[in-house]
Amino acid sequence: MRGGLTPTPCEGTPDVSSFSFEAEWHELSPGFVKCLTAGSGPTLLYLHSAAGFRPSPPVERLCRRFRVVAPIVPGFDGTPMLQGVGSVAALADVYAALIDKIAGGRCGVAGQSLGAWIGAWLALKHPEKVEPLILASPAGFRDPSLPPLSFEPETMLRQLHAHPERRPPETRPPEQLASNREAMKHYRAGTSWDEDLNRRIGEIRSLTLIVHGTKDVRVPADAVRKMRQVIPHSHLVYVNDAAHSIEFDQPERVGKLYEDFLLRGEAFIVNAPVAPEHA
Amino acid sequence: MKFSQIHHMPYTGINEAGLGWPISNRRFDAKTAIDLFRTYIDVKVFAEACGFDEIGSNEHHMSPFGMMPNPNLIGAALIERTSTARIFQCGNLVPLINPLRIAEEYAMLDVMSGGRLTAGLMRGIPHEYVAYNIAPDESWGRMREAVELILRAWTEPEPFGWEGEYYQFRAVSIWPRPVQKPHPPLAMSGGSPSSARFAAEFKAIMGILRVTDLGQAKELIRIYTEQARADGWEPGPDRFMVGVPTAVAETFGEAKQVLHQGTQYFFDVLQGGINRAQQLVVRNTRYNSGDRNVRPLDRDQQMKLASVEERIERGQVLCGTPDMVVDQIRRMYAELGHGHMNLIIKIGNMPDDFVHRSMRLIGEGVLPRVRSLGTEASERAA
Repeated sequence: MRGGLTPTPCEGTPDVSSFSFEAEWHELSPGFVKCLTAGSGPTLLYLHSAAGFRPSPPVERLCRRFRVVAPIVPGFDGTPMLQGVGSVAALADVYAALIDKIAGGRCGVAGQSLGAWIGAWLALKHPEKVEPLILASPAGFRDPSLPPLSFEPETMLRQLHAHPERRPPETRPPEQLASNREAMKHYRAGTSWDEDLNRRIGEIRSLTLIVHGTKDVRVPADAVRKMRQVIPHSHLVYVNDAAHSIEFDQPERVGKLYEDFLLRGEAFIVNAPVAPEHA
Repeated sequence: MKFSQIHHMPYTGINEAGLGWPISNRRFDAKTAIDLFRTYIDVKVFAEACGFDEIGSNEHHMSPFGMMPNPNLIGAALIERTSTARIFQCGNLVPLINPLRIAEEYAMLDVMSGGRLTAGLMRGIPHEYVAYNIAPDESWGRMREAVELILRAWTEPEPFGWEGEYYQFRAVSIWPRPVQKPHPPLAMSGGSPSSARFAAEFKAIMGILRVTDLGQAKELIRIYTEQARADGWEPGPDRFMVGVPTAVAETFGEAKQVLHQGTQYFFDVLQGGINRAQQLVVRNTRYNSGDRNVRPLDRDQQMKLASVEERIERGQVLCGTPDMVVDQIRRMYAELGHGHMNLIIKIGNMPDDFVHRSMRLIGEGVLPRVRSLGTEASERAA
């Protein structure tokens, strides 16, 4: 049976706002990687989207049970690029080394959008390091025969958020957001189609949860269906009334889903307490 | 002795289903299913012509194991094509569904059939809880409360409300009400000591629907009887139903071979993903909390590995020529004293022409010779 991660006891409803992320820099062979860390428990590597790291309610919820480590993609939010790391697949190798450093070589991985793209490569290239795996709104799977993604601000806003009123206020300066977009280009992630990954996605052996918003028009539903079909130990869950920015559109649903899957593994399909008192 | 014919209506158009849950329906073929449904309903209707007293339908979800997520639809189809056989629903999975919906649909079937319904109220097997996302920990609590509510919905003379732990309704008055008074006879599963006691509390026909051995069946009947006596009544043979896979042919060799092949398909293909979900439920919940020694997977494994002769000896199956099966039924009755037999005549991918032939042989060469078993004892108890 494919289990989840051993939980940290959690009673009552903790005040998630009590978790504050602290910055750590980890030296890896290509250079330094900045990580934001909060919570305690088993280590969970959380991989952020192309919007950069913003602690969403689901991520804050995970801090109740896990030590959440969120590496900042080099080049994002003012961090330096790494020498020789110029693709999403190469980033996965960097994060594999990070797992060795922060989690003794193996941990749970959750990624959203760009983060799921990296997470998929990480699980594919380093299967021994990832268990379990969450791929939420996974980027990298938009078939090139489809119309190209729009990056026009109004269209993006509409496509990213089913509930724009729930998105966090943007506090980052425009130049930082522009530099994040440049970093995306550096990793050749702007096209949202990764042919190699699509060809090899069925090689993932981690227990995998694929999460897709029913209103996500940036990641085609056919792509997540194909992932469900070819990844042997995978589950696909649609989150109703959520667009691509799934963690902000439906924070309660997504947070509970992440938590349930990470703690209970394959048994998350059974309606039972998150931390069963009985075996 | 009364005889039911039951058919799980499996989807047999695949050769492997995988071991994970749920079982992907990617390879479902509509044309195959259309043909199967026609064949299966014809076979069920044929049971009446063969002399079976009851025709059984049951509920299973999200698996090729059985294509009857709502057996009441099949029951309604059978009512239109039969006139005497009882419509034996064995049955709706009570903790999973709105209990008033069950009360209403069963009342409809009872009215439509002119009072031929036997109302099975089942708790369901573990994977059904995953399919419908009901907490297995609540299984017994929901079962008890829902059964109480269903009985009340059938029998209360005036509109009423219900404030329970799991169900709340402020105004209930179902239309139609059942024909049979005070309500249709109940049938419940008796596969474990807890369920045997529960069935006795409600004076239901207890179905031991998968016999491990005659000793186990005897013990469950003893538990039921003990509970009934504690409640102040004496159950007759008509309260006990034993379910057995059955294969009857002109020769033992043919019956044995077909039964063996169907059984292998049943365990290897139809049961595959179900086992996985069952493991997840049993290991992560209190589904079996009342019955510590219940090990359904071990039981299935033993059944799969046993020879047909061993399975006959244990009372798990009926197999052979009509004469042999008559002897097997008499032996079981001598041991158990039951008054119902539920014959599962399609096992796995057993060929449908064989099923048809087997039923005809049972009707001609078996039923007339064993029908009188238990009759006197049932009349005495009544």
